[in-house]
Amino acid sequence: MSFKRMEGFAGSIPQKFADTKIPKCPMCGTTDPHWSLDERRGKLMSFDPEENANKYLFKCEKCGCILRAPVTDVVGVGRSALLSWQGVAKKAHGKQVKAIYITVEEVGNMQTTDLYKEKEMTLEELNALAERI
Amino acid sequence: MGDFVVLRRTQSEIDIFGGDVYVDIDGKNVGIVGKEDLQIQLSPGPHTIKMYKSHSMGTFIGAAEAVIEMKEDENLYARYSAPLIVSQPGNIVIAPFESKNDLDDVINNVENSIRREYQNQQRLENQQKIESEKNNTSLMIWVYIIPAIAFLLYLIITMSYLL
Repeated sequence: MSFKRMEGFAGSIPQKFADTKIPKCPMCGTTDPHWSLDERRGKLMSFDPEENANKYLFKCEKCGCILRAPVTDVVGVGRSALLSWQGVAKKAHGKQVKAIYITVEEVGNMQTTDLYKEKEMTLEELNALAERI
Repeated sequence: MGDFVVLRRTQSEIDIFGGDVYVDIDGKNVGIVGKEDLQIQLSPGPHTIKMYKSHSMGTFIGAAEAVIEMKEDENLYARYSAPLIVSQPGNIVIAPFESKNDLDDVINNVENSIRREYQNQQRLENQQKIESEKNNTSLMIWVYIIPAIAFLLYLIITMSYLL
């Protein structure tokens, strides 16, 4: 994976999303996570909305934790059941359609356990977790 | 001389937190807490208890310190809790005890509460997974199979009119 900051126009939407919506790292508590970005393509041949969704990966500069969010949630179309397949899938899976779901892919080097690994939570829950540190 | 017991670590604690927990009394290491209680005879008077956990690359984290005033014929136990974040301190709970059964009760309570929490979490995750798989199947039926059947029916009907 090649994580990098997207300071220019390209990639500015996910970069701005990470910098403004996740101001504090939920795994180490730093207020300057200086998120760097990478993208992972979903599986083309899969009908599973979890598998076929393209994902943005955000890495904290301080602890190296990696957060994963569907591209559709980050750009906004996934927050509507009318605009995207992921939105329909969220509704079908009993998730809040308007919520942004983020998964902790790697807990980084500041956590002493793997309790949060692969845990999915809404952006609000993630920020509440960061506030508790 | 009073009995000072450092409570053993439960299997869940070892599985989740890993590493070794060290005990220092008055600046000297007196042992590592394993699956057995660590029993130490302490002379009456003040003593400084320090506990910490080993981490990666030979480092130690979660240091916690407490000063106790040991009295003649008093029995005290100490229980260490490791932190969830490397930069946080650990915690030591120090309390008196009457018999070994009291210590077993404390350990059982800790083990049960960790297990219960972990099992609840696992159960919720499994439930979500099963629910998700079920919903995926029905979603696929509604999005792909039903429209495909409807389209086929439409083709058959229009073709029958043409013939």
